[in-house]
Amino acid sequence: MAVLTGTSGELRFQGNRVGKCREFSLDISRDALETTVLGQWDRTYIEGIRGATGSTTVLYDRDDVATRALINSVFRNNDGPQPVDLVLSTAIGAELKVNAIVTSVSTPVSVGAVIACSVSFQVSGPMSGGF
Amino acid sequence: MSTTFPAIPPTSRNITPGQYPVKRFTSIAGTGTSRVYGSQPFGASLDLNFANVSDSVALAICECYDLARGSYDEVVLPPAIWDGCDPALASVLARDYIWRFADQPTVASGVPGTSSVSVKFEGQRDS
Repeated sequence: MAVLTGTSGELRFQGNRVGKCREFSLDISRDALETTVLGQWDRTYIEGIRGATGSTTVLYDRDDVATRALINSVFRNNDGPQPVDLVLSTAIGAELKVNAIVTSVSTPVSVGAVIACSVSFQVSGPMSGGF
Repeated sequence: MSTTFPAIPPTSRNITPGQYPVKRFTSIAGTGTSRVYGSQPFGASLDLNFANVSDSVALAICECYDLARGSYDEVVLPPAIWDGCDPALASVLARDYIWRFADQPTVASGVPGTSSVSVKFEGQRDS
């Protein structure tokens, strides 16, 4: 199996493919709860709560429904977490499905450059699938 | 009647030795004399913390509290309570106190199935 590249990746928002995604990333972390007791020399831990945040950069394309929905979700209230699929490979189905809230959108516009929007999101609840 | 505390090494342990029954009598001139009314200290306090233990451990501690009927019965502390402490020091600290719950256990729930428990004991002497 060859190493995957970005050409095999895909980002979906609310089930729709974000057409012009330049990059995405997901940072998953988990707390480690210390269980070391008196009389021990080595620290011990158990698994704690897991959480994840993510970010993506998408090229602004007004005709792309998923792109606009992703960017505009920061303006919506009371919608709750929305489904986001982070696909490493559409061919082998390596993907992670999460529900997330868009927490920040940055839309830099400059002369001589495409408009690339940076979007950050906070994952809420369990993640399904896997890499 | 006594109840044995679960043999669980604590995460942290704080003990304050008991005090001797000393009374200081001071004269109007500022001089004085001290009298001691007993040969044994009393009123030691022992705080134990059990961090991130399973709920079954928390249950065992709460059951011990119920069996002891709170601060009524004596609680026998097993050697595991003094883990990490030099035996000579543990012997001096524990002495021959009669340990009783000084307060209700505090159970803080964490991730599912995990709790942190704090327990306070008082070292007493019965007449």
